Amino acid sequence: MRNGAQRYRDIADTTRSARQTEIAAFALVIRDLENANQPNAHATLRIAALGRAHDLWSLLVRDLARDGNGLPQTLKTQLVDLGLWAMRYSTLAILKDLSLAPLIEVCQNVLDGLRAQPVPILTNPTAKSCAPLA
Amino acid sequence: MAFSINTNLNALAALQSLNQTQQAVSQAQNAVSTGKKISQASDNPAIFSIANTINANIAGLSAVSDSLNFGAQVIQTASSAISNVQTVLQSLQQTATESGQTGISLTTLQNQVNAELNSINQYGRAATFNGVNVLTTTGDSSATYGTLNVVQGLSGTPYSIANQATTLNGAATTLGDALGITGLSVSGGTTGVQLTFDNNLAITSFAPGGGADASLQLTAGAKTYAFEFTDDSLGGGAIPLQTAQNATTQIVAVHFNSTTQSTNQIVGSLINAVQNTGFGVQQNTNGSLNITGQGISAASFGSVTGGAFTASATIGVTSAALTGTQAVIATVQSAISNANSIAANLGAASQQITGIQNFTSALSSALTAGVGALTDADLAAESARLSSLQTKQQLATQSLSIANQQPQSLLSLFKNL
Repeated sequence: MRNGAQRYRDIADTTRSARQTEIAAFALVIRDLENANQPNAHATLRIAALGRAHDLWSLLVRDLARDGNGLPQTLKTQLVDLGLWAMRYSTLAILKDLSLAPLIEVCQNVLDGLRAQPVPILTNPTAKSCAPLA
Repeated sequence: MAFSINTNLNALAALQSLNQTQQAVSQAQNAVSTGKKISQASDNPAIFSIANTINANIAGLSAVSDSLNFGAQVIQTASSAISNVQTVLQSLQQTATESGQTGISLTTLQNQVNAELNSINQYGRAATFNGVNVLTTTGDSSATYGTLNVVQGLSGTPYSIANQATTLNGAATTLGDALGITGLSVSGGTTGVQLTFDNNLAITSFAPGGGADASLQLTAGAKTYAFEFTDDSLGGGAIPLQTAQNATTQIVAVHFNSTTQSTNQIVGSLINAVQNTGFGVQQNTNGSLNITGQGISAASFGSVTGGAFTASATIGVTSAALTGTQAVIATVQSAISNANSIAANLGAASQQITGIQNFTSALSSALTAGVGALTDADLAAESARLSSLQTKQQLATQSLSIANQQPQSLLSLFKNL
């Protein structure tokens, strides 16, 4: 029987690392999009930034659509909806001269939501990373 | 003995929250996206089927979007390259014009031309995106293939964008070959021919497939290219060509229809055939054609009877040699028109992908009926902004990550950083 502390560590590590990965991914995408949104930014930069933004949302939407995603139904639907928009907008912005600002703002809002933890997570230097769910 | 965390209120709250999370995760193992607890078809076949269809459609839509996005990246990379090539060609035209002035070192000009030709091929090679390059051939770059297929719907029918280099010139290796500009020489090495058509173009007066085929013979180096006119109105396009093809003679059929096509259309077919064989063709404002490339030295119009070519003046086409600056400029102008046609093709492909992408919003509407389904870009952007604010609040009350089933899949985004 696993005790509370172990269970806490396992879940905290998994949840935290997955959420931290998403935070890092959104931060990266936003940074790239902002660089690409500068006047005179090189076309290659824009193509790469929008490609990565698309891939991020595509991965999220696929996970959201699979049975067993643990988020509440309303939030799931909303994220799938946003994701489908973000994917389409990314592709159109590669082909046309669309502003990247709406995409940056949407990503920033999701990032802010991810960063706002409902409860403070304790740091545990001895924790294993990516422990499987108990 | 485990240490106690019960004295820390924050930690206690965290533990409760995480226990709930864990519960949610294990419950979620059995839940489907409708929110109903259906994990097998036998639990409730109807709901299971609907839920599975929606999930499959979202996954399918993501796959279509991935493919479209990849296509968009390839097309835009190529468009950006061809726009740079167009700039280089403008500068090359300037250089070619200068070659006609006395007192300018031809060696210096040639070095400049060589550098410009080199940069055109460099742009072609650099247009490789994830191993796909539609501007040059596998012989020239490490691109693995040159034709781009884009999935355009859940049915999986691909939309194809042909390799632009081999479309222009089947024998091309580099982008320069495709544009017909490889080996451009300002010091007299570049030659061309000019064909002038009189008003009574008499191609139709020949009896193709009968006694004689009208034919344009181009001499380029040791090779002869015979463009033989075949009248589709007479034999449904299955007319046998008259001259035998061998190592030094290449036969190209030019299909036309004497009953339905105008002279201009017939000349248009000839232009396409000559271009597809790798020559540069530029139509002048008076309707005459400048043909350059591959060391072309002479052109002759006539007829072919029983495998033998006889030049004929009655066909209404006269041929004159283009040399020196005239030939150099004609070659560059033809390359410019080729680059313009590549740019136009890429623009059309871009339009097509935009169209397919907008169509996918119709599929989205069946799935979410929300922002993802709006086709008006401004309206959708504004709705997405508002919707993301709500999402932000809801995410803030969640401990779970968004991709909570395969969170490690996101690590692929950090490749090549």
